[in-house]
This record gives sequence, C-alpha cells and structure tokens, in this order.
Amino acid sequence: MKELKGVWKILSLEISRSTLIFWSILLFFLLLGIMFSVFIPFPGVMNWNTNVPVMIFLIITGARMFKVCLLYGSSFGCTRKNIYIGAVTFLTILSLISAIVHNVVFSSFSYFLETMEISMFINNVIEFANIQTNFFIFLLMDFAIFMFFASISYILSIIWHQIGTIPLYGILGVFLLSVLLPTMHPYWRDLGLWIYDASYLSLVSLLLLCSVILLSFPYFFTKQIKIFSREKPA
Amino acid sequence: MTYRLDVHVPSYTHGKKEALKNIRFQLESGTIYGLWGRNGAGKTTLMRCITGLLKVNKGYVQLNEASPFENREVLEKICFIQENHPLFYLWKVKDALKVASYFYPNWSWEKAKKCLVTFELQDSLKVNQMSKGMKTALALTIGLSSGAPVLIFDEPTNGLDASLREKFYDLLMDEHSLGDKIIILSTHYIQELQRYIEELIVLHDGELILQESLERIRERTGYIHGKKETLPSYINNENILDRKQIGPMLRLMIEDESLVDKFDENVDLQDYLLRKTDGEVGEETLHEGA
Repeated sequence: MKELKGVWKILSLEISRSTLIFWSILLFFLLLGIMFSVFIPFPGVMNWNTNVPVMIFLIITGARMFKVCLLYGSSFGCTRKNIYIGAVTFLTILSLISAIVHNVVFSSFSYFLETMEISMFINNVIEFANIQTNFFIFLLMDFAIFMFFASISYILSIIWHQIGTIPLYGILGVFLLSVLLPTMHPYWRDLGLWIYDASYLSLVSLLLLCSVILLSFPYFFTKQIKIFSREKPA
Repeated sequence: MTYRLDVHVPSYTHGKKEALKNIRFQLESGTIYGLWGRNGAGKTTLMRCITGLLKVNKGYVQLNEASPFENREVLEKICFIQENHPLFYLWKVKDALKVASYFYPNWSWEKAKKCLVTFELQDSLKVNQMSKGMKTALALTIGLSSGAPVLIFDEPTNGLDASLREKFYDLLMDEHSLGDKIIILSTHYIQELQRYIEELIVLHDGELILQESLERIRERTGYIHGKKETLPSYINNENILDRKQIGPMLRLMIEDESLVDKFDENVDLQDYLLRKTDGEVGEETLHEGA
C-alpha cells in the first residue's frame, strides 16, 4: 500500500502544476468571454464548451502518466504491477475529481450567466444525448467520458512505450481505415441513434465497461513491460 | 540479519549483443564491493539485473534465495542509485525524499536530514535549480537514508567536488559500520575508492574476470625493476601484464604469487585493471631523456 502512495505522490507532483495551469487558463477564458459579452455586446449568443477542453487535458495527462511513473517508480524499486495499479487508480481518481471540478465550474457559470442574463451559453456535450439532466447525471456522465478517453490515451501510451512509434502508427492506421474512416457505414448511424435513445445509466455503464476492459487488459502483461527502450520484453 | 546476494547469469542478451556472460558470484553483508569495468563492460546491465529492472532469463539473481524481479519484498531491500538518477525537474528536495520514503520501509528521516546538512542542500531547492553535483548529492542522500540492506551506487561521486566526495565516503562508512549491508560501488575511478572497497568485481566484455579482495590482488601483483640482462628469469614469465622499457632498464608488472618476495613496488590498481583488461601484454619503450 505504501508504494501505491509513492506512485500517487509521484503522479500528483507531476500533474499538479499542469492541472493548475489548465484550470487557470480555462477559467481565464470563461471570464474573458463574460467580459466580452458584457462590455462588447453583439447580436446572438456566444457559445462555449468546457467538457472538450477537460477531455483533451485528460487525454494528454493519461498519455504521460505511465511513462512518468514507470521511470520514477522503477528507480525507487517499485514493481511494474504496482506502478500499473497506482497509475490506473490515480487516473480514476483524477477523472472523478476533474468531473466534480468541471461540474462545479459548469453549474456555477451557467447559473451566473442565466441570472445575470448575459448572452453567453456554456454547452455540455451530454445535452446532445436525449436524457433528463441534473447535476448528478452530468457528474456521472462526465466521469464516464473522462475516464473513457483518459483510458484510451493511457493504453495507447503503454503500447507506444512497448512497441515504439512506427508499429503504433501502423496499428492506429489499420484501426482508422477499417473502423473510423468508413463514416457512411450504418454502424455509425446505429451508434448515434443508440446514444440518442439510451438512458444515462446505459451510457455510463457502456463507457465505464469499455474503460474497465481497456485498463484491465494490460494488467495481465505487466511483467512483460520493459523499462528501458533497448530492453527485450521480459 | 545477514544478507546474501547470489548472481548466476550464464548469458544475457540485448538484441543481438550478449551483454553478460558467465557471471557467477556471491556477495555477503558487511562488505563493500567495487564493481569495475571499462565502458560497455556490462556493469550497468548487471546492476539492472540485480535490482530487478531487467529480467534474467538464463540463470538467476537472488537475495536470500528470493528473486528481485517483480518482487516487492526483495526490491524494498535494494536501493539502486543510478548515475544521473531519475529525479523530476519540478521536484523539490523534500518532494524527492518524501517520494523515496514511501518505497523503503526502513527509511530514516534523521539520516536524510544529516545528509542534507552535510551536502548543504536546502529542502526547498528544486531539481531544475540544481547543479550536477547537487543532483548527485540528492540521489546519494536517498541511498544513504533508505535503510535498505543492499545499497548499489553507480558512479556515486560523479559531479561531486573533492570535499563532498570525502563527506560522502564518511557517510558511507557510517552505513558500513552498521555491519549488515551489502554495498556495491560501481566506478571508473578506482584510485579514489580503493581505500573503501574491500572486494573487487571486474567485468570485461560482459564477462566476470575477477572477484577478489584488494589485499589479495596487491599480494600477488607487483612491479619488478632492473636491467634487462638481470631479469632473464622473469622476462618470459607468462603472468607478465605489462612490460615497460626505459633505456636499459626494464619494469615488469607481474601477477604471480610465487614472486611476492621479489616485488620492488606495489601495483597501482588502476594500471593493474587496465592491463588486466587489455587482453595482451602491454609493451612500451621509452628512450632515455624522452
């Protein structure tokens, strides 16, 4: 347990500055938007979104996390398995905290904009799904979405670390060509319709299930994780 | 408690290169070992195998009969301070020590404070504000405070000035005096460390070529001087490591137990190791007045 705390400490020291910078920039731009709307009025409503920046931040953080704790954790004698568990639990907690902070910011600003009748609106991607929303549902959905994207980047960073840049591009290329690029394929329409009709619990469950599967898979291969780039997998 | 480190690595390959071969030795607690080898001799690979950073596929590395690879119970007993030890640039001294304290159950804050005072490091100093020597001092502080029964230092004095090097050796001797530690110092600069090292492990091209106490090495190796005509019985000795001719005078470095009484001068350890790993007898002729 103590070494898990060590991994969490490494990660919290690593991301505390970038987190602070990220939220400062996000809040600064929101305040700037409010000032523009108040002092330089223009016809129409200024639209903002805060989920996507947080998602991007978590994707970047998730991608960096593994390498950081592998480098520093292993140098202090932490096992690959504990490094992996430490990083995954940290990622989960970070997604949850980010969802809480995001929703507090989102709700506060939305309430403030509404009561002050400022012509600025903050969108939430969850509103695109056909579900009744409240603070708790927003929070749960945010957590599931953040967790899902952070998990993807986390796993990709492990694959990149393990097999290198070119093989990773190869795998992503095949994935893009076969799954993502055929945009006219009916499965995209079906998925869109399913998201639109699904209850929030179904959406949350699906996203969390995908995250759990993504994060569980490498757990069984932690002993094979190489620490040094020229090392043959154990 | 006493500890015993068994290393038996018949072969370890990096891609196509065989980085280690025919390695077999045992280390016991209460001794300071020196690990010497030229660049690319396999010292770092060996230390990484011992500390579980690399998995030994052929053979084994065991601390009290347990493998360190992915074994937390063993890894918490080994503290490996690497050359340019990874320290995140935004960490403060206190952060680095706090992180390290989580990984070593016998961590001593008292020793950490003593080391910080000795190395003149301030708690609030950030890694990116440190000189190379300060970073080394911080890494050494971690090693010395870890309380781990196996301490491994790779080029421990890299970047330290003479005064700090002396202070480090003093602190290391304090740790050694506890008597229950296996201490391994890997270095290129054997001259300075020979005062502290009790036993030497020498690697050459990934192979273990020597594991012996410094005393034994000094006993059976030395220089014999004399005119070429007066040394006919030694000239063809098969244990000559180095032959230096200065005008009519000849100086031979010989590793031969039977000649202990004949040696004029003790061997210089650095010279001995260089000749030992040269692969052939060193020949040098210096002309008088040169």
